[in-house]
Amino acid sequence: MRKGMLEYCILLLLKRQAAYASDIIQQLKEADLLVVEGTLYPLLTRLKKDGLLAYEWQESTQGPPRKYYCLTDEGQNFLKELDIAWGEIERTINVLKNSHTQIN
Amino acid sequence: MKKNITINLCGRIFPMDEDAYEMLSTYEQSLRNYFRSREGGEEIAEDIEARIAELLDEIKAQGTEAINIDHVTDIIQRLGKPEEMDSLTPDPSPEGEGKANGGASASSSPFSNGRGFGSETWSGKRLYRDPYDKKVSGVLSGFAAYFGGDVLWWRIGYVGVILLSFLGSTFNFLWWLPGHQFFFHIQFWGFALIIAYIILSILMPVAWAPEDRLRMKGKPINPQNLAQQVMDESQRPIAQQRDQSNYAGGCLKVLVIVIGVTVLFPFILFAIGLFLAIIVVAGIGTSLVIGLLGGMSFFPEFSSFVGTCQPLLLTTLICGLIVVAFPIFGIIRLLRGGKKLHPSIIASLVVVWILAIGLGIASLIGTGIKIAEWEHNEGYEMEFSQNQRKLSSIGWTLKSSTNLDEDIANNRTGFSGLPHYAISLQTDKNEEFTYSAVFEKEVNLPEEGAYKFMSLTEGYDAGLTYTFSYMDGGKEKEAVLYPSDTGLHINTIGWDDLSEYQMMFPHLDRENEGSWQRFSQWGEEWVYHWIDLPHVDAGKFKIIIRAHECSDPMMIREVKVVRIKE
Repeated sequence: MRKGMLEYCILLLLKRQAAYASDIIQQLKEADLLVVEGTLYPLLTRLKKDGLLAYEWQESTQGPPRKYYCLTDEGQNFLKELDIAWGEIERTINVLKNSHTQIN
Repeated sequence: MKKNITINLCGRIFPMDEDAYEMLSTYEQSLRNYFRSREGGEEIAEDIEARIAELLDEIKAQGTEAINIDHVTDIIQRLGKPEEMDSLTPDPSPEGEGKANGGASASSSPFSNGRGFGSETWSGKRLYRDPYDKKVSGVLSGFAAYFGGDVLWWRIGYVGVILLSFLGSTFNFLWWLPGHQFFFHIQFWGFALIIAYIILSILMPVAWAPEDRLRMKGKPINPQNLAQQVMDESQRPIAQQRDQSNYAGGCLKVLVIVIGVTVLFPFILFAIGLFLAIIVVAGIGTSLVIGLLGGMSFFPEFSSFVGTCQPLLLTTLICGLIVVAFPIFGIIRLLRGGKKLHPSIIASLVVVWILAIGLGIASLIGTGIKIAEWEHNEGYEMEFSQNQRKLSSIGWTLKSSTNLDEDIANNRTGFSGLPHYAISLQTDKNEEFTYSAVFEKEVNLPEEGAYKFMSLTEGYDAGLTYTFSYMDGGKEKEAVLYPSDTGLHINTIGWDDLSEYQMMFPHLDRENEGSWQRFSQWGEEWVYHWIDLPHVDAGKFKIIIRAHECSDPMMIREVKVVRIKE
């Protein structure tokens, strides 16, 4: 469940702008989504393998070139599907929550 | 003061303490090992490496001169151990879940609880092969780590059991021990252990990474233990090769060792026996040598005697070993300056040693008494058969037969390496699988008295009987020796049953009842039959050998009658 969430969040982040791994880590950590940073790397590799992400090397001011990840077209589509799915989940949860409150 | 190393990571230079470097490089190695089998695994490891470089950069930017082990521990905690990173596992453990939600209040440092990486998913031990302490592929040292105990004892036990099982047939003299069946039918125990080893060495993972080795020993995986482990290991010589191809060679090595020792063991045993025999000879004289030789050669009465003495001889052997070995090991220990033994252990060893001396002397005396008795019983003997002669030429008459090939019966010299067969019965060339035959021989006994009849037959002899016609006090008598008359089939008899009848009681009291004893020599089963005839008049004595409905070749090596002195 959390792994799925994490993927969704990564895709959401990258939809806004291309980012490199440390940026993503920073943002995910701010959102309390990451327990250990290392989790991100296998995820990125998998998403890339699935064709949802791509990366390009960009020069960095502070050191060696960095991998900047961005969404592919496929990734965009997948994200849309996820958005829909998420909306449904949210609806379901809300319904359950509201009924719960009514009983109380 | 610490030794300092400069490392190059992703094109950047970092000065680093040696222990920190060791820890970091083992961490990196464990990452690579973990992701190696996966598509894109190399890339994951490289990306994480780049992240490590970045984090090190940050530390450097804060003005740290050299990276120390605390920095590395922090980094490892931040990045997590390989299993935690794994996005392919379906779900983190419930505890991890709790951390993510409930731990939100401590959001800025999820590790502020100080538990470090890995403590939430792991409790208990796992079976690993230990690459740093291996003779073949480290399975046994893995077991030692998992179940406890010194790996040396595991190895001794393992090899010992294999040897025992392969040498099962040479342990026949242990028939009087309880549980001896275990030693007899069991070559497959040895094979099972060897095959189990090979399977386990394929199935059990190797504990390359320090955290694997902590897990192997059942220690909790926290930064302190891990750092300790890494430090300990950095002390080791780098001799250990991480060479997987070594592995088939290792299996081969164990096979060669096992086979080699198995082949050599009888010789070693023989050498020990010879050595002790020399000691024993010095103690009680040459008569025992005659007894031992008798046991090794094929004279039934000798081997019968050795049979009765075997427990005594064995006790002497074991006691002699203890008496000789303990001081030798003691001296070796002294010279090598090993750990001091607890006084109570030393005391009990001394007690065992003294007991062994006492018991050894007692059993030597016992053997001596047996020999004296045995020599007392020895009478002159009359041979009814002569070695290496044809049946007909030594006075045996073939009275009747069906399906017996007389040519084979008369001329056969046996299919074993043994040189002499007085009488051989053999199935027909036409492959009629049952035959019967009756042989007779008559002799004159020169004087009256007690006689003992003996015969030595190979293998399956259920269809064989010996009949004796003789005069006792003027009356004609007949005694029959049925080898299987005990109601026990020779080939299916258990060793438990056997011990009731044989060896310990060579002379059964009941009149005209025969007895028998089975033993192996050079891989063949021989049966020794005897019957005591308490009183036989001088004069005609007739022996009739009947083979009824035999289906296997019958080998009668020797038939003789011995006068027993009163």
